[in-house]
Amino acid sequence: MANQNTKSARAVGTPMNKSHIKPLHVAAYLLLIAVSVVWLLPFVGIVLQSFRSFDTEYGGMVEYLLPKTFSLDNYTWLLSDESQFLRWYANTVTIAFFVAIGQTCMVLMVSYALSRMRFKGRTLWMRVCLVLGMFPGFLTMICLYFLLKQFGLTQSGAVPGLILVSVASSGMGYYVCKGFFDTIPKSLDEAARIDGASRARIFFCMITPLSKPIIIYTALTAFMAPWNDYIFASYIAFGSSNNYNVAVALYRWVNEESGYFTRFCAGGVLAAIPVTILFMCLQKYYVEGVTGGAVKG
Amino acid sequence: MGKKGKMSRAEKNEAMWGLLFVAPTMIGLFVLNFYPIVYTIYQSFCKTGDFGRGNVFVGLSNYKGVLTSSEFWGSLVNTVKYALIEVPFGIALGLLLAVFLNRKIAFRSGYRTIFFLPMVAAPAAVAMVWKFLYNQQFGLLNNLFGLNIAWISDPNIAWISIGVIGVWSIVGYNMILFLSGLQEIPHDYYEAAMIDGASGIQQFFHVTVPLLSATTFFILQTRIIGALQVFDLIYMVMDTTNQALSSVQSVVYLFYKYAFTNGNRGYGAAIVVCMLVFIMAITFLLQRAEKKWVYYD
Repeated sequence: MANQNTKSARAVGTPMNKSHIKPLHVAAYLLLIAVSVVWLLPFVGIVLQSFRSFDTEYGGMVEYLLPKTFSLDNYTWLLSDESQFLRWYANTVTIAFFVAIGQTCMVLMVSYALSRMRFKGRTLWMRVCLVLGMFPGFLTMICLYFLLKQFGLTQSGAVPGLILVSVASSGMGYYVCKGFFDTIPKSLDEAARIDGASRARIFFCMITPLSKPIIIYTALTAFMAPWNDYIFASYIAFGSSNNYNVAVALYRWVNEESGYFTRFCAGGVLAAIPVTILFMCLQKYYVEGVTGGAVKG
Repeated sequence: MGKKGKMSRAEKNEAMWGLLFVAPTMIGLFVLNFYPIVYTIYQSFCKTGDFGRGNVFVGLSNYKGVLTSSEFWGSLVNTVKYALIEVPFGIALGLLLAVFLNRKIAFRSGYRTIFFLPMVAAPAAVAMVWKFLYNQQFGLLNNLFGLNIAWISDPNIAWISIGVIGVWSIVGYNMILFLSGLQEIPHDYYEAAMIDGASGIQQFFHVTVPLLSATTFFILQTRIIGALQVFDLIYMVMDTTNQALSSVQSVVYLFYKYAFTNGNRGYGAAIVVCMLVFIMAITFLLQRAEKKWVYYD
């Protein structure tokens, strides 16, 4: 239903008529452009600084924005053996990849079960999730570290440890996805059952294709999160620089080595690229996914 | 729901699969969320030794310490001040941008991506860029406008500067949620309003705003709770030697300082539990307010 609504709204077009509100239109454009400039400024700053030559100019913060000479020094250095950047990058990609797959599976399983199946304790379980979801994440941080440490999932085991933590209880975030499944009429399931389709077949051949936006939404949010995970990641990998993720490593760099600012900027640019591209390609689904789900009150 | 009494074979089968689907999440939830939460609450009544061992039960003395320290109350005030900037401005701007971007305008997806960029950028990179922008000596802001303001080390200004970064980071997310809410509003309402001669601005206040109240409330609620847990931003932008730190540090920052930097986990846990009570009280008030303010059709 929601999905269809979205599409029809889009097909019909815009809520406001063109001929009526010319000045408002102009104002809208001006505001959008002004806000875009402010929003982009920090990014332009970081990109420009990343091209400042490390060899001929000081690598720390300077008072000018435009580099005197453009060079790829910082990038070639990052990709060379001298820095561990590629290692950190690989760590982050690994975490993001497995978290995206794991979380999507977990969320789909829980959402599907809660939306389509009736079992004992179902409502109780949903209530427990709701309450636990209210607890701030940092409440578990103290204990979680010691728990992981006992399983050898800190320091040198930080990468699997982070994956485990992100995936294990991720089914808790089922609201958006369950909301979406709920909008797919149950009579469709029943019709398929009567035609002799198995439960698995219904899920893979009927529900999944209909739920493309929500699956992409779930996978995308899951993939994006590890790139930004700083505080827990830094705590778990503490002191084991081989196992940092990009965010942790970059931050340590800037704080521990002065004069690494331009290199840091280059690293930040490289880290932002995959996620930005993904978001650009999939943003349509992202909006649709949110629409279909929880935000209906 | 199944009928009372014996379940049929099909129902039993369904219940079994349902439980099987939620079981992994349930286990994860119990081990990695529920247990740590309970343990942390227990720890808040203890004086903790090194390595998480040797908890000595000390009753309410940690709480007495927390609730009588001006540092804790100061940090609570700081946190609320931060939320008072981030939440209203983030929501207002997010709504405005969403309304403009809901129409067919050129470069629409480009704008969306730009506003969403801060969400996908690593917080370490974001923090460093803003540190660079705010830098008194080299910073772009002072250079661009010929100022000499200590943006993040003047206690009177620093909290606003931090709030601005908060708004900058969150607007894109709010905007996406508003966009999805906007697409749910039937086109007829705008047509009816237009026939009655309502201007674009009137339509916004009399059709869009009331019909978006469910979305707005959802964002309000999640953002208030999110803003009260602000940590990363402050941790990364404010150096520990920054003289404005005490007028900016949030409750979670204080928790981190005691539980991890100073190794006093019992005291840290007590801070978190106090914060939890505060967040729960706010959630309770919001739930009651929802019935009054939100319009569901």
